[in-house]
Amino acid sequence: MAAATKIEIRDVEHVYQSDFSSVPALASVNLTVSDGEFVALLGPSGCGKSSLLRIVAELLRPTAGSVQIYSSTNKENGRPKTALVFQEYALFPWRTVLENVVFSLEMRGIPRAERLAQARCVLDRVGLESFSAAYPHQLSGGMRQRVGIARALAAQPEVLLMDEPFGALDAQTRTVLQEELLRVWESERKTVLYVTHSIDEAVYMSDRVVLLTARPGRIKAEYSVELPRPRKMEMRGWNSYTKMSLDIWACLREEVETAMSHE
Amino acid sequence: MARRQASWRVLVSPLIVVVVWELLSAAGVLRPNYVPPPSQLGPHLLALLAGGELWRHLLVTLYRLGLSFIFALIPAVLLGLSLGMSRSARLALEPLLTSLYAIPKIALLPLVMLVLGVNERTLIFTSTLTSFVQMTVSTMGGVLAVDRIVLEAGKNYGATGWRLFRYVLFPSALPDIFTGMRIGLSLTLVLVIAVELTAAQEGLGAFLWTAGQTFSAKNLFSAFIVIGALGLTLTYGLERIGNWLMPWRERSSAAMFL
Amino acid sequence: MPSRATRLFSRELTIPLATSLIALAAWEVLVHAGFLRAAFFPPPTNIASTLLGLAAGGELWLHAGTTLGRLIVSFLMALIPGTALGLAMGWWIGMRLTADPLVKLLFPIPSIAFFPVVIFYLGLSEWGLLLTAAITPFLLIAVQSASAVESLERTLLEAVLNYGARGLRLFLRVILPAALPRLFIGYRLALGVGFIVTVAVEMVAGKHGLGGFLWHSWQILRIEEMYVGLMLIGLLGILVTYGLEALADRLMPWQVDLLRLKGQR
Repeated sequence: MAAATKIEIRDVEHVYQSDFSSVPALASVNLTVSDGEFVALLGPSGCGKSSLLRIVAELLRPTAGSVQIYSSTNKENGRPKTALVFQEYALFPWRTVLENVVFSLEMRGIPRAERLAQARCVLDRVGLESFSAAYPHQLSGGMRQRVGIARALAAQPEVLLMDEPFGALDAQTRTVLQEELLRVWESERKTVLYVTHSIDEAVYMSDRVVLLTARPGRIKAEYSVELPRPRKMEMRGWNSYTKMSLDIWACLREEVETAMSHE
Repeated sequence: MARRQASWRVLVSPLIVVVVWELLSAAGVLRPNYVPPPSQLGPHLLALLAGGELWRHLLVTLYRLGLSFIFALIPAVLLGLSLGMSRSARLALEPLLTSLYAIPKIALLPLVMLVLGVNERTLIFTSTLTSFVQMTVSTMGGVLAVDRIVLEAGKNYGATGWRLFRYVLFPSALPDIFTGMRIGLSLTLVLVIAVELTAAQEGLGAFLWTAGQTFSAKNLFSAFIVIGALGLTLTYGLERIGNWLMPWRERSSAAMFL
Repeated sequence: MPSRATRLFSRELTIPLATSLIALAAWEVLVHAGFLRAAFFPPPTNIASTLLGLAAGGELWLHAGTTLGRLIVSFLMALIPGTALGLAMGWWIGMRLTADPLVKLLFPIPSIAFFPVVIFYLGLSEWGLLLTAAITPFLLIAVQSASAVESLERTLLEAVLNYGARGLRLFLRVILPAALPRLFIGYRLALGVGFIVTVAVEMVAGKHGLGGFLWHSWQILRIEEMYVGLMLIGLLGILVTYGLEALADRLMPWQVDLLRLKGQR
């Protein structure tokens, strides 16, 4: 049975205007994401994938087109439409880990006892309960991103948006956190839009890989990832995995070369 | 690095200096009228303090410093915040602010004396201006330096409008605002003492200058020590307060200067 | 890429320039209309002609040159020993343990307070002035230089030593460029403090220089000249504050992008 539509991106275009120039970032993007789907946005540098994410997050107004996010219930329930996880973590340095996680609940006006309990629960899920009173600068990169993820989950968004969340981390930490993210995601099966420039990450994590062209970005191809869930490390050795990765690379390659020639 | 262990070692060098000083004096290399030995200096300083005269000067200087700071603080922070947040306001006021920032405020003293007369009011005005300009610039800098993605995160997680300011922008800028306060106080102290040197009857600067004019080396050093102690208390005391107030600040040994 | 001309006419430059000109024009009008006392606030046109007169006369150049000279000399007096001490402190722990407490004890002392003590021994002389203006800057440079050395990445040094750079080569090619940004912070602070002290002492001691000229013109109530002095001090101040910044950007172009990202350029 087809799942309900969660995100509808229609004819989105975006041009960055400055005093001296205008840079087209996105050109006519159309995308539909179903409820509970994990979609990876893959593309070369500068293809506008981060811009697209910010447009979905309503941090950026597209020069054309619209984005619609459908709520799971019909009523207004106070839940935010989106929660962003940033590559650079973007934690609030003056707040402890717990205070960071609790932020969106605080903004929503949820009573203190309740919001602290919820935050602690989420921290527990990502394994950082014992670091509740620590400040971000005291934590390693991997731990900070876990806080970032906890903060996003605690916000109870309709859609989870992730902008190359593990890009700033070393490969080993990255692999561990990918698995952790999937584990945490499994229980709730939120709709996720995941920006990455790593084919491996895109295939391993998602249900669908959406490939964007070089700037101005538009959707070049989509790939359905048929791997069973929960995902396991061994799948990276499977033939289907390898084949898909190579197919994607073949398609992505010319976009990367185009992007490189732009610079 | 052996940072923790070094806490008592901090006193070793100064103590050695004091001891060497005393020895040189005892050996006759330093003439007591010219360079008083610590053994004479100590009691003299204590006597001055006990006598009340030095205290009075200290309080006068403190009063001038404190008053200027309090007058300047809120307007400066408010203006700095506004300038940081509004590009048009910043562009409009930039020439004035830049020029004032670059000029040593003591150079403005003659102009102020012209308009307000040669009195206490002028001194307070000029030192308030010193605090004001510094704190405005630092506050503005603090707002401008706020990480854009932290603001994005704030917006995304539900802090809009006024709440974005209160819960994200302001706490983010707070360390720089505080640094501005610290630098402002230091510069204002310099100004107050500079003016007191020749233009005032009371205050540590006046006492210091008089000591020099009357060739009293003991008074000179006593005044210097008290002024030094004041400067030290301000700098390190505020540093301590800053660390308590803002435990998230990353501390480095030279960060306190910036 | 926009041409140089379009950059020059950008909003960043024209609005401040426009507001300055408008403010000056308003001043002129208000004085002539009688709203501002001419005795206190002579019209900008008068000040400008006074400036030209003084500049032609040559006296002004003497004062400006004296102050600038004092600034440079006292800065060098602080720079060379300060950098040497700082680098030594950063490199050898023994040096740091000895000198650090003394430096940390002395730098918070208001720089002007050294003046009466210095002239007690050296009299009201040029050396006294220069020395006073050099003390706190010396301490500031020492601390920043020490910090610069300490903050050098250990791995950077290891990699370089491995590639055969030793001694002077190591110093010039690796340590100095890596330490330069931090060092410049020290120089910037030092120059700022040195400038304040120089002007203050010139005003207190009344000996030539722009500070002395400023004070003197006030005393004899030549108000236009006072404004000229003030302007020149301001210009010198801008040169000191922002000129060093520009120099730093020239010497360390790799830093510029980083600072741009941080919104500091």
